[in-house]
Amino acid sequence: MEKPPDKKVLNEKAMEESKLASRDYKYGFYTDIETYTIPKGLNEDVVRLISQEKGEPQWMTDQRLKAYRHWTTMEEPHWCNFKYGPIDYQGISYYNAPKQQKDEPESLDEVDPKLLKTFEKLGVPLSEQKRLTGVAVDAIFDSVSVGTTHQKELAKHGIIFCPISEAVHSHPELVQKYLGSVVPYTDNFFAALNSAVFSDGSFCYIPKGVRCPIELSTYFRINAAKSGQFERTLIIAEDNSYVSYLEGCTAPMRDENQLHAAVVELVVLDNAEIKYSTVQNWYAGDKEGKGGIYNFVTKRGKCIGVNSHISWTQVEAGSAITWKYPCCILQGDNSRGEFYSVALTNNRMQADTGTKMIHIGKNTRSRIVSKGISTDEANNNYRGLVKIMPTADRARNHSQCDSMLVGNKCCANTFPYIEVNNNSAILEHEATTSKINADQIFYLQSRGLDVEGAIALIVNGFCKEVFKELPMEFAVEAVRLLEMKLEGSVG
Amino acid sequence: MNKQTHKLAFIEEFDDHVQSLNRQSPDWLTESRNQALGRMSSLSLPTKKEEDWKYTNIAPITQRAYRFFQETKPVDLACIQDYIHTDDITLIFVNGIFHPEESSFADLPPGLLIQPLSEIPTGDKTIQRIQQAFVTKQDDIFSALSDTLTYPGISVHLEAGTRVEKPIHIIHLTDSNANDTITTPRAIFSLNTGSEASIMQSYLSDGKPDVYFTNALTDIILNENASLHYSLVQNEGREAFHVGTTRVWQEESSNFNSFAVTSGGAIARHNINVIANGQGANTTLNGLYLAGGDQLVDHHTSINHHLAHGTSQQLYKGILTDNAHAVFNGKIYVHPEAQQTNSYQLNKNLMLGMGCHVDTKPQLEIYADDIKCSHGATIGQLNEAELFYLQTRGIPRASAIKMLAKGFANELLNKSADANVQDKINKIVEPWMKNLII
Repeated sequence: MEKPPDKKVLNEKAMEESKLASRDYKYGFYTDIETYTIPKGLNEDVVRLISQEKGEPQWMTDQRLKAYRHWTTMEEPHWCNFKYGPIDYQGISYYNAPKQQKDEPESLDEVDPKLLKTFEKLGVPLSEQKRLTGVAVDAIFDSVSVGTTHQKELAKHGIIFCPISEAVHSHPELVQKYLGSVVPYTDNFFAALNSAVFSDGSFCYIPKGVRCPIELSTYFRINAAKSGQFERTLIIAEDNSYVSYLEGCTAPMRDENQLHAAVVELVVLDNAEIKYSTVQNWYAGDKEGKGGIYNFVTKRGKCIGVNSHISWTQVEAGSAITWKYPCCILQGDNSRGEFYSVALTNNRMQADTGTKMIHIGKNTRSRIVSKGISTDEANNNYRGLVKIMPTADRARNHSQCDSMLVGNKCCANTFPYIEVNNNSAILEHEATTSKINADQIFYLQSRGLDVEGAIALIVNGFCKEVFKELPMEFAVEAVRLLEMKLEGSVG
Repeated sequence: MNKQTHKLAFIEEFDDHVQSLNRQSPDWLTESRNQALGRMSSLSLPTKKEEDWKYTNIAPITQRAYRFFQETKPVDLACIQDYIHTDDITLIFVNGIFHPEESSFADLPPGLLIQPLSEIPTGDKTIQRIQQAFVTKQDDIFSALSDTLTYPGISVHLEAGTRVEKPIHIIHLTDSNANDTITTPRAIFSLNTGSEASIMQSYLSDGKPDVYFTNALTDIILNENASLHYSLVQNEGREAFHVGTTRVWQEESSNFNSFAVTSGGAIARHNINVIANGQGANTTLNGLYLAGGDQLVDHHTSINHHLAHGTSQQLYKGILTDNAHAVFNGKIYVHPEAQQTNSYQLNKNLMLGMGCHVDTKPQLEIYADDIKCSHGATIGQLNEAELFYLQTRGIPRASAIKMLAKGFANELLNKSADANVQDKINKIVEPWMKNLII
């Protein structure tokens, strides 16, 4: 039977758009730009060279070397539930920077137009006229920050928002005090590597009593081949402050696997709140699982102050491998941690992601909502830890992890760890795994949607609880992203 | 054999004992013992670094020295007399030694065969099947150790279509003569097509504070449509150590229904591993653990759904007082072939003591898509509002706590339809509840 023509018209635009996206990862282009690249390989000289490139003070160089020496004593962890080929740490160039016309461009107008164009193409215009209102962007291209918008406006409120390499010079006391205080270089293999070679990332400081008037965001772009990105982000929210921070990332399509090992640290003091949202869309490799980013990220926030609050929201839709466990250390009394996650894996993607909630203070509360969607031959794992320390009287946790399977070659696993060392704690954990409901698909089909449209709608509803936590622009983006990814995966 | 020595330094005269067992055993048992020794050479004692033993430190078990019980003193069963039903088929082991004269298993119904493993001749088909089914697939050092020291062991075999009305009750008593001993109770239950039985294993002590180590291993094979009601009661002495493993192999449409009650042992670990290798196999694993003092109670369950249309349900509940530590690890593994699996698991913990710890890890590993699996875990205290309500009705707080704790346990206790089993389990649970002091 022929399809009714009107349906075609209805979906045409969306179809075209998503078809394009699924065939060619929309952000998979490469910017041909002259770059400065240090030779491949990693040793103490390379670490020194990176530090020198950035003109860092001695204490920073020493810290990097300490981390590097520790890293050489560590072994790559392999406890996660997926397989990947060996990573050649000597085959990566640890510093890639686009060549600037001037040493330090004073304003965005002086930045290479090619770079500005790249970010425009990615949907993140940086130039004065076109920039998004209400969002300050720090754009990071390979190992350096290209430019940061809205800095002057933010400075009026006393907010510092700049690349971390700049903060090392302009605010060394803050960097020295907080860098590595949440994720020490001894923490894990990838954190140690990052501490040694980290290039750029964002630094945010919200002073006492300030509610950041606009969203802060960082856009990470890997461009160079045979390189990795090792960004470092540090956000400090002083007493009674609030900030919402967003992060986005993309990379060109390549047949090689590129390493991305980031560290994010959040410090939250009394009554402050940080809302951290990520839409991760690194290149995920092709249908056969060739290429894609290896994403090994350590994200951790420390609620030091009383009544402090951290909320992690993540949409994980890219990367060949995702290894990521955003963590909240709930140290201050009455502090709160939240984790909302959607992890979508298709083709041969592998994700091992979840969260850690460490309750130390009294009356600490945490909430976990995790949604996993696995299609094609993907492998999707939730791994989470909720730990109640003996001091955490009346701690409260609720966790919910749901997985949806689309197709019969994918898998979904759940590994929650619950460790309770205080008898006044109340915890609930629930998890379900099931196939996408055939009745629901049928119902939507009877209403004129095609199978793919129906799946997209159901998945969207499945993830609603997480999407509503995202800032509006990001939520729209995330919904579109999910629809594109689900294209062609008929259950 | 000497290479074992360093690992098994906690067992005295290990090699001599193995040799003396070999002299008494039929060929197959000797061979199985040698194979187990071979396997053991590649296995090591677990440490907390291993995922399966992450929360349980076995050092207190292996730091002591154990001997083998050898005396043949007359046994005194007075301490468990209440617990023995005269109508049952009862098999009594005291300190690891089988006491046929104290047991009652005469006039067995046709189709039911009960005998010590050491009396089974070489070439028995059931034994061969057990060896194929489990030995290479799931092995840890404690199972291998049990295989090494099996003697005499017990086998319960049901012919096709046999339905045994009487409950079969296997009691392992360790009394105060057996201080510092190691016993390795070994059992094999094989239920042929369409047969049905109710089997209970009880690990008991005479209540004296003795240190001993029970390392139990039970293998169960259920053929097509066979149905087993399995109960496990572990009420070892409070200073004793218990490590037990129950391995189950299920064929098409078989039904395995298990209920484990644990209240004894300083460190108690029980693994129950189910391989559902037939379509439409149904598995129910329920458990109740009651722990106080400094007890550590560790339950590991794993259900492997290999083929389609399987169902499984698990409910494990625990009540903890004082400084007790409970560990629960439940794994549901759905293989790609096992479409239409329906699996459910819940672990609930009630923490009444000030120093309690709970580590729970429910796990789902799903490789098929058309399935429905869920798990849950809760950890909490008694509801203050409920306690207050009872107090307003004139019930003292202490009694109210007991009432609510009993209510918490009753959900499980009422699940067992068999009055005989309920009665026996209540003999363990009620005194525990009575002595509950918060």
